[in-house]
Amino acid sequence: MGLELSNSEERNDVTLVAEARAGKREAFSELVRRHQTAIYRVCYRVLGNPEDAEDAAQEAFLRAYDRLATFESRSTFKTWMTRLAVNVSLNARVRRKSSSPLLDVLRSNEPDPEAQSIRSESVHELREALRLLPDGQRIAIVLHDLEGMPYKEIAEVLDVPPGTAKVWAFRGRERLRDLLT
Amino acid sequence: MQEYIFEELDDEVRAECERELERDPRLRAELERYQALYALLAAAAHEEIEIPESLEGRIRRSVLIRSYMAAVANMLEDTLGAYGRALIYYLGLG
Repeated sequence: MGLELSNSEERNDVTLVAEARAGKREAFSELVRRHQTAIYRVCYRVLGNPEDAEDAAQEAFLRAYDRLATFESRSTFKTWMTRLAVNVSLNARVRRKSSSPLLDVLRSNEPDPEAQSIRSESVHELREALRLLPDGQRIAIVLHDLEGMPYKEIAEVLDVPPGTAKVWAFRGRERLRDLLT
Repeated sequence: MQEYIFEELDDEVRAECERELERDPRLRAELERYQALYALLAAAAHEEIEIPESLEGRIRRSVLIRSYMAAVANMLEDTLGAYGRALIYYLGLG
């Protein structure tokens, strides 16, 4: 079963980037399929609503397509793509400084409706509080605490030393603690 | 406090931290605030985020348009030379 990998599964991201650079659009489509979920999640967590997140994710992939020639394999395609998504999302956020409504209903596996309601409300408050943080702190928390990315990779995304990414996350959590607890 | 919760302290510092926690009720209150925050962050991290079905198609279409525009721009430049470049600039295709 595992031995019969399809061509797309066998090809790694670097190979796909090379093929996409050579004009194979299908190779780029495969990169989109592989990374769209992670990229959309980051956009959604930064922007706070699904419509803006979809626009930002689309824009990020289009920028990636335009800039494939500048991709160097020093970082992974995912890290490079995340950097583009963060930049697009932050720019979109600046353009739409007026707050957009957040989702009111969050999905939960919690069977108890009352507990689900409390939890949803709290997560909603957390998202509101995240929006009050400076960009670096917010991105560090989104990528580390919500997306599970290590500080070293976050540092590559934000183009700062790993220690700075960690300090931003620490300071952001201090601020969230003051705002939420 | 964050390093204590994340278990990033070495054994000696951690033990010292725990002694302080036993002695100082304000420190315990602080710990509880961070624990509440981490529970919230964990809940947010597990929030189910559904990717819109339309996203992949939107990206594919925009890439297709972008590549056709690039092809048209190249063709104009190849066939019309400097006039082609001017036209590309004028039409915003470059």
